[in-house]
Amino acid sequence: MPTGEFTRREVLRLGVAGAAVTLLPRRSMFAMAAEAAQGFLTSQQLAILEAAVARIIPTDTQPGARECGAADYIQSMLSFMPGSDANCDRRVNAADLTATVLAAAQGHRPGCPLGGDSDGSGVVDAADAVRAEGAVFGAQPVYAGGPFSGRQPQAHFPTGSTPCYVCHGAPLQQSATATGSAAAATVDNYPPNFFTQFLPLPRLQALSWKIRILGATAVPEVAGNPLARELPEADLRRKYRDGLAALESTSQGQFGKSFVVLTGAQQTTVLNAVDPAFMTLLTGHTIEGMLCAPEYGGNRNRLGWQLVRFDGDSQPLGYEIYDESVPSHYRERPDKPNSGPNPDEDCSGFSSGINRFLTVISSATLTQPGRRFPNPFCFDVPA
Amino acid sequence: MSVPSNVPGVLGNTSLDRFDALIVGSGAGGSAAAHVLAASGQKVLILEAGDNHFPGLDRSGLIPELIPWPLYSNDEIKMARRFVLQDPLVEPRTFRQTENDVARPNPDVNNLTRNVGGAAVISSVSYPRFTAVDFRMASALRAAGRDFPGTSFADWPLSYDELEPFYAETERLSGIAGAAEGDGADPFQSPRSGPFPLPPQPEMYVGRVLAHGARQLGYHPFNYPSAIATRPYDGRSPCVSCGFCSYYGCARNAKGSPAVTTLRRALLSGNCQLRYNAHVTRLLLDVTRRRVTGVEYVDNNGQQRTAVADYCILAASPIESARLCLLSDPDGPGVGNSSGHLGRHMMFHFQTTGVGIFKQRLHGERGRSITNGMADFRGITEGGAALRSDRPLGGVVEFGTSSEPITAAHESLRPEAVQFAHLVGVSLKQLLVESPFHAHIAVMIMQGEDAPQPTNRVDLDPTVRDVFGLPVPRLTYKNHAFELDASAFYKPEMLKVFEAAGAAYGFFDPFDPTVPPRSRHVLGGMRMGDDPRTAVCDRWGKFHDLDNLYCADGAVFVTGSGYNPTPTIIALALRMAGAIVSPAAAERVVRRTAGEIRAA
Repeated sequence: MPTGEFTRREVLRLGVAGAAVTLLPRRSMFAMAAEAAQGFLTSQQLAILEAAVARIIPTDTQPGARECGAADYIQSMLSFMPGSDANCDRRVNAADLTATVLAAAQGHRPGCPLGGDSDGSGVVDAADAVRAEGAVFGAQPVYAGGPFSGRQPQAHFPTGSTPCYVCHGAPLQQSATATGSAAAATVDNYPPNFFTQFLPLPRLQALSWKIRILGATAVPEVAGNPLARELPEADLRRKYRDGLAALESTSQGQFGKSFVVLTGAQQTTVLNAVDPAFMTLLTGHTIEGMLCAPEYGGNRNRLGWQLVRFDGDSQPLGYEIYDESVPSHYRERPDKPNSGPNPDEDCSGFSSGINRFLTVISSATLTQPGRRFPNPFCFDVPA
Repeated sequence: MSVPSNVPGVLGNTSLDRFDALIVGSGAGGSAAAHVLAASGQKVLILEAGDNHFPGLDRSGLIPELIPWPLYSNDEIKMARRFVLQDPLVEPRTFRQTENDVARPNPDVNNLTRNVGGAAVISSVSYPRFTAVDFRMASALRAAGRDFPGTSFADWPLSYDELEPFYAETERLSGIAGAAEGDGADPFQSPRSGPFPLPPQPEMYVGRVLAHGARQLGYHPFNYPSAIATRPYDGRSPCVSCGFCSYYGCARNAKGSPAVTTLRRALLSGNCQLRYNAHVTRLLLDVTRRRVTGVEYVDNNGQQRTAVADYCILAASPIESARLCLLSDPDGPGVGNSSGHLGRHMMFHFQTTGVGIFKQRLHGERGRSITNGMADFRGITEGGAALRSDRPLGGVVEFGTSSEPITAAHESLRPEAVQFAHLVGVSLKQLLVESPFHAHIAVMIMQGEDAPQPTNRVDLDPTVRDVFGLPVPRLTYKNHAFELDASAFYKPEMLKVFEAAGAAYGFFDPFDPTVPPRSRHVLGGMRMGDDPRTAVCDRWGKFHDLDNLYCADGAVFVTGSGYNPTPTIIALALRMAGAIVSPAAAERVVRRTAGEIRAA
């Protein structure tokens, strides 16, 4: 990758960030280490971000964006660079530059393509740190691996062969809650989590992610493409740095206080006063951070999926169990049927607010208005 | 012979260094051609611009007869981050409505996938055939006295009956599940020589609900023919209805995309080598300009390289195939363009998207994307032989939805939706929690036929450049009254279906002519025909202007039909490859190279 000058500049910047941490007074070595591991956004910026996402999807009787870890997702996204996450902690920072050396003592983390003896010399030494600097721009958590996360079991076992997750045709195994000897068989029924094995990027995608994170100026090859400068997904670090700074300065200007300590109503005022393009970007990322696969850094404890009553990734189990012992060869899960209503479907419909919203949408399209139907009913289809 | 490959960036036989055929693109058309050619002993090189997410596609699986797992997964973020989609940050395109407008860079010009196996890998693999009347649409419209000024309808240089054996082979290779007759069958389909190779797919709740509504109105819903395995089939695992279907690569190879069907056969033959992350930038021609000698491409290290072969097949999808012809003749009209029709008559199905919101949770996030549909709005007679006089030509209607929550939430974030939410005092969190666009949504998409027009075209943008420094494709496209009127005609009927199905609300995705067509069904640009003055390719897909250049993607389509196009692309490519091997006996060659289906 043609990163020469940029590489040095970026490493320098990371180094300066690390140095700034060491200059902060009254911080133990532990605190420094924690600070360095934060990722691209400083702890102050992260606090503003936390407050902002918590205002976009607030916490009430149910969790909001704060509990779901949406800010962690954004931090994780802003922190990666092609190849930067040498220690596989999903954060890119100065710590990655020494991670390869330390990795030998700490043991190799599975799924991390880098670390330890990064130059393949057979010895872990300073040369590996140099190599790690180069690797800071080589493979990173942009795309989770596949095919399975290990959150769902494989329904079928091959008869009399090594347990595997590629097979079909045997009866459904007991669930993960089974105990004793059945549990041993069931454990193997869960495939490993491939999602944590993030995929390396081919050249064009590496360039594209450089544009996303660092902006079009970091990639001279796209000088002839206006979209590399115009699209919302480009230049994310600058947009977040500027956007969060605008939130804070607007807050100080209007209320004389940090955004973090404003009341909810005051925060809403500030959110409405800053660049709407930034708010659109932030809102989209907040949603992603709440509902993503947890491997991307958000959706903490899968609270986001619970909030919207979504099961998440369903492979390799799925919703139609392949079973050759039944005539159709398919068996549905009684708790989560594919072809009919949920067993606990209450058919209560929507709140009055959502009904108003849908009524407006239905009547709003000027050329071809939709309709609210007089007799919506709730039923299973006759066979 | 070294199959499988251990060389990075290469699948198949790495020891091959002399090639008969060079294929640009590993999608539906390219892979189908590669399979027939490699099985006939031709040495085939495929260059694919995208990455490979089928590791070990050229070797047998953990259990020998099973295809190794792919890297696709139930992961919304991966797809939202353009894991496989053409990326406008590095490969932009531009769009305008008419030649009088200045084209603007646009991120949404038919951004098909860049990956081994092509666009069908992440499609819903809905694989119906075209009908008999689709191949002679100009004659049928003329006979009915229907005239549409500005359109360029023409008959295809082949009939449905000629293509039927190749459709049958496409269905066998791809493992298509469907009902050939009886309740689940599409009565508007043209006659078939045999049943589908696999039993119909299990119906999802959304599909059943909409089919119930349609049936009450006297329509004829059917079980949608799909290349999704309902039994173990040819090394593929049966589908378990995980829900992440259209827009996602299949995590268990249940989808019979080109990668795990025709391409895998070619790679295992020992006669095929595939280089991925290999971006073809130019066709090389000899001094006569009648022969292609090879291509230039840029590899994953950014190095420019050359590949040579005796003949070349373009299968890069219509926009990129046309662009390659234009890039390869910068001082002329474009390779193969003596007719002036190259890049013209571009078609995208005109999608009318109806949205129904139901009181109950329909959980469209389970099940496949589309399990049911109906062709009553196609405007043809039963058996597909003629036009109906009482209604316009619309298209097949797909019943279903992909309603994963991030995608659904982004719907709620569209500016007009946010505006309405503010208006009525609804919070974003309420929309998320009550999930009207996620759990309660049912969608009907009509894949309306759009009229071919010479003014709808692809050429090179004069200013915008891609990451290689090359001019990007410029799409000029404006819808004709042909498809707009048909859409307006069927919209009230679609609302009636929603109402009969029990929806609480029904409305339409608004149509905006200032944005590029949303459909990923991209067709035309090198239409086939017998007259070199009006057609770019001949009836076999060979360029009229050249002795050894062929086209195997949707570019050769003369008209677009109102059914999903992929099986027709595959059938035409099989037929073309058979004719390359033996000009007089295409069908026999394809039958000879068929090979066994290994049903576990």
